[in-house]
Amino acid sequence: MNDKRDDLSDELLNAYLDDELDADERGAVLERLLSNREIAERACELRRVKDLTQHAYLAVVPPSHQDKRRAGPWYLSGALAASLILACGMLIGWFAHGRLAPAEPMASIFAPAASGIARLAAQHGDVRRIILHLSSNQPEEVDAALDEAEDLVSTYQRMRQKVKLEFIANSDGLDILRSDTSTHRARIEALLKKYPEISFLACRQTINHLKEKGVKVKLLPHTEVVPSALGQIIERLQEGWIYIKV
Amino acid sequence: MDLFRRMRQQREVNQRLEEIRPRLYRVAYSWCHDPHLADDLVQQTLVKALQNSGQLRDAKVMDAWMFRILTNCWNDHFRRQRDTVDIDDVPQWHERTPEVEHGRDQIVARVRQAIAALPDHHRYVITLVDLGGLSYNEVAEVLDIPLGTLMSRVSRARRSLKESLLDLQPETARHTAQIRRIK
Repeated sequence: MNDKRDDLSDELLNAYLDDELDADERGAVLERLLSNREIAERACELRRVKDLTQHAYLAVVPPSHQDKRRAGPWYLSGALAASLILACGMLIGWFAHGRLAPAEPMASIFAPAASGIARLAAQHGDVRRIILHLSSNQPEEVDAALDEAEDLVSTYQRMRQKVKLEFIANSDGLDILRSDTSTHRARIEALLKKYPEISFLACRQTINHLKEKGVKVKLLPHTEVVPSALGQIIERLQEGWIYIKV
Repeated sequence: MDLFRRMRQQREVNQRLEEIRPRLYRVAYSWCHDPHLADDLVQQTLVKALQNSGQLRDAKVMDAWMFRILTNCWNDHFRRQRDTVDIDDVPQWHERTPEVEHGRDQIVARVRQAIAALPDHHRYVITLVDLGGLSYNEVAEVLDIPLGTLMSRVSRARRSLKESLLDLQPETARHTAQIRRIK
């Protein structure tokens, strides 16, 4: 394994993750990823770093300049007022030269941007989306996870804030969603009844592992199955969901 | 017909600016971690872009061109006020919500601190690639560095971040690591 590590540099692996390779190079890297577990793990770690970086700034959006807390209307700030004056000059200049006039959109350049930001803010503000991940069957952790789910949803409801929470279980955590092993069946059914905003998801890969071991898996009613817990979490993170690991 | 062509081009410019503004802001914010300064930098960038729009002959390079202006604005600011950027003094969040108590902000703050702790030349490349959405060629052009140097910096920056955020790795990558524990 180690002798192959040097064959695929971090530079190349990062270029692959950043979609900077041509088709042949991508094919070669993909082949190594599929055949070498160590390289695949390195790629996963780097991908995770990239996801975390993007996630950390996902909610950072430029302020709407309608905000009255600022010193004055944004469009009258010195720089922008100057730009508008300049815009008028440029408008005349460009048209005078019969060339493409970039000045006309000056006045509207910022307005559509502001409306776009408002739309983004609305998307972020409408519904709080949380994915809560449990991979343990330790009673205290299961209790903490269910408490957490209920606490989050009820808190948001008190704030009259819409919320959606996915409770995803894999590995040993799947036990609480199995009808034969769940020690919290009544609690889960009560939560589902009380909070339609909560859904319980089971990891197909964990189910398949159990089946390979000869374990017959039967899930609690209303449990949904996703192909992979990790895949679901990464997808949700990319969509801007809040991720909580229990 | 020429008028219609101009109107279409102007509409495209508007759309491009609308699309690029959030990315400019996000990158500016990741450099200074100050919402007001980031906003000022983006406004300066847009104003300078408009002032110098005649220099832009190819709309395809507009992204790199705008980020280059942002980089120049940031460098100008940094030269003027070297003592203003202190991550420990920067408010990381401005809204108290349940997730403050439930860890989300802690993760976000950890990642931002790790980004802020990177050497400048590493922070610039990683934020321009991951937050600015620029290609390697565009970032190399913005920072005026060879492509090989850029690839090396991306690699080193991610390695540093990986080490700083080791305990945030999921179990599949780090068997004993967890994002957050609730006890």
